[in-house]
Amino acid sequence: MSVSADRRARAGDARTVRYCTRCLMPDTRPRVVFDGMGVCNACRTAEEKARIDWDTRRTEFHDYVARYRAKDGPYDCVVPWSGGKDSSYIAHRLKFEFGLNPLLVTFSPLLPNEIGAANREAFVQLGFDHLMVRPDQKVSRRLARRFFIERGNPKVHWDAGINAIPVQVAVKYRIPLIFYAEHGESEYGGRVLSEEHRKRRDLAEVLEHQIGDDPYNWMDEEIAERSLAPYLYPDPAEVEAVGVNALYFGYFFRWNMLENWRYMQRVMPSFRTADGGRSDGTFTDFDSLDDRIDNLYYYLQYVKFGFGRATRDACRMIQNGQMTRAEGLDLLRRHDAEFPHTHFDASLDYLGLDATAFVETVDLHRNSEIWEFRGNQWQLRFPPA
Amino acid sequence: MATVAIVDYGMGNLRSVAGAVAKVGHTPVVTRAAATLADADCLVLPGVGAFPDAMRSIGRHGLDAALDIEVRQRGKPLLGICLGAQLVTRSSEEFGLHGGLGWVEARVRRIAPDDTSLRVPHVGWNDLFRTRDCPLLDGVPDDALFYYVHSYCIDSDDASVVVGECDYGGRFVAALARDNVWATQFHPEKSQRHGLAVLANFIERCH
Amino acid sequence: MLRRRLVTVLTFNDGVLFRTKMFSPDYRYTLNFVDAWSVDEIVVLDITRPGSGERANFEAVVSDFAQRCFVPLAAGGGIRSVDDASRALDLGADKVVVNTGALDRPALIGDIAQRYGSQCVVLAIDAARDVAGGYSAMAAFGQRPTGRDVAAWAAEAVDLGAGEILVTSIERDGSLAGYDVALCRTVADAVPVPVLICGGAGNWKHFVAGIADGGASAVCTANIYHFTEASIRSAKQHMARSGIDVRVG
Repeated sequence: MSVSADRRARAGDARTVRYCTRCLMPDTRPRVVFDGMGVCNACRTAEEKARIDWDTRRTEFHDYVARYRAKDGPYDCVVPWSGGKDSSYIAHRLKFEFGLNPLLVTFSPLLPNEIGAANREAFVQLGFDHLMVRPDQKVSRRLARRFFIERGNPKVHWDAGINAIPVQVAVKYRIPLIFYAEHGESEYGGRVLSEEHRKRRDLAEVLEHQIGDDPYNWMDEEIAERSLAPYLYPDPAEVEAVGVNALYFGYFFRWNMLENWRYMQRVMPSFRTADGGRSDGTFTDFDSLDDRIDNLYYYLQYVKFGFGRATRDACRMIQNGQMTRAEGLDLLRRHDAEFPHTHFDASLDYLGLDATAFVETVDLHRNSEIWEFRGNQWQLRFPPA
Repeated sequence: MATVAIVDYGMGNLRSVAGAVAKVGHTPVVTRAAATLADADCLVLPGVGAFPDAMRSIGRHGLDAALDIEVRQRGKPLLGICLGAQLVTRSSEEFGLHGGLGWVEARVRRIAPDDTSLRVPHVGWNDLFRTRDCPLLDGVPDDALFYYVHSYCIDSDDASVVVGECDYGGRFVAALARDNVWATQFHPEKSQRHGLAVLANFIERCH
Repeated sequence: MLRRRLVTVLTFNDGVLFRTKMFSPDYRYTLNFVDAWSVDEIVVLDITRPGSGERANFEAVVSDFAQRCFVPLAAGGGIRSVDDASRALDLGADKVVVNTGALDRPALIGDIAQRYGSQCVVLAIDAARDVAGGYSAMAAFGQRPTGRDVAAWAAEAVDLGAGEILVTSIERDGSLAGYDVALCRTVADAVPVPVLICGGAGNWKHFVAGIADGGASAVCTANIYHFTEASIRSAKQHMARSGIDVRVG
């Protein structure tokens, strides 16, 4: 039984899509919450930042560091690191401003982008130890293909990996302190389960919200339990025994994507940006540069939820007072729907799909509640305004 | 393509049965009109609910007479499903002893397993142990499972009418056949591909 | 012998498939990927808050599923009268699920059972831990405490004519942390009818625990990522390898 094509063609759906009155986020985004004034929770969080006593937070940061930094061994903390502006920013401050010795831990992108690799090498040259984990690619490709088709997201297992590996390392090397960059749910619109969740990373939340499924379930005829090792979170008892504490840097120091970028440009002028001056689907050139499959990833997000990379970037900048809503609207109208041409062939090859299969899969994930076929093309029923 | 009349006596998941008949490529007609029953190639007697209510309802709509004409006199094939299967027997002890349509030598009793860990109603997927060959089960593998949901079940002393059995706290009759009357305790319209195969067999091979 | 069942539970807000987290609609999801031949049974529930949508949208969902499913379909959400039950059955559901309607008027169970038979009536109970460490039934989307002990209510419902009990842990809903097995066992020990456990299914080991430790006749998942053929088949194979009798293939 499959509920398929004819549902998609159904006309006259009464449900509408609302957009945040401050930024441009639609209510189709998973877990976004709009308040009575139509303002999304990411905007409210941004507002609160002006009211937070950052001095108190800074003191809190020093307390945590004093309490949790490793008592022995060479490393003070683990920094899950992609080589991008955000994780590099925090690693740099932790080392050069606060005198900690972080161990950078990377879970390899599916299709490493040479821009990202070059940036990583340049950063490591500034004086860092770096652990790079690249999982079995037969397994990874099989999972990427499966998840791309079933969930419209080829990076589900990568999400599991970036969460599991830093904690596995923390447990094995007995480094209790892990610093993540920012709490996605608070910053970008999502469900914040408690104030504590803004500060401390909760695995249950990650499993439920980001990955959505337990990696243990991914075994099949070709994937045995041991092949899932890079994706499985360590035993909670072991995590507890080491006393692992994963904290968000963005809780202690005011988070601002553009400021992070400017900081990196200052400390590492060789930081490379996207070729051609901007990434597909957006107007920025400095974000998400390490995985060539990201273009496809963001495009599917657009198909599933009706907002693309330009919306995502614009919202963040609006929330930080770096752009007006009108400017953002103009940019997303120009870029959101852009087809992910860059690295398209390499991505399809990785997934083992041809162009026809790609289009079929995209259509299966096209949400009929928000899309209609009109004038020989797919159009948003409720475009942003 | 056959026309299959689904007897509507006010009790039964008519839509599901109709959907399944259409799915296997035939034309379902949900009806209680004698004339429509007469025009159909074969009949399905569904049923969900209690035995005495069902018999009363059939009587109230004059369907006992109409069915008697089509089934007993004209020999039209009829498939009873679940409660409908129980109705074609002689009697049931549900809510007191009540007479059924009496076309098949069998009776209905409560499921009362000695093993108290077995919960009643019997709900879910279970076996069908074939006791003899029958066109109703042509091509259906021996390990096929079917969906059952009932608190009462069928017994028979006449092995010649029994086609298949199930075991839940003891054996009971899961499929019956006598002349032009066929019956399944399980729901073929709810048993996916094997169930649909049984339904198709009834329509196409049971003449 | 009777196999244990793996049942998918889909929750709809104004006719749109929604994931839930602790009983709040979480986010909408496309129905295109509900595709599972291997599932044993499907439950569709209307979780639309009163006044927030049109019932017709949910009715369209029930109809849609009834036409495409050839496995049993149970429909629930807002069933408060025999007429409501009749409507669901007319649309093609095989069973109706009653919850708050039955808490407010227990005779509803008997009314529906007498008309359509006990096997048609599933009593759903949303359970929360109470201060004493027991379990208490909550009404109205898990919001309104009733003070009723879950096991006692389940037993009373069976006496009134309920054919099955579907028990959900509110705390575990959407958590992926596993079922509240103790809750399941409490209910299973209290009634002679099949018990279905829901709330918290994360990995396939949880399904095994629900049956082996909880005594469930059927394990439910409302996790949309479990709704694909590959996932359901993988889950059942795991259950079979763990010694649970299930329908595979």
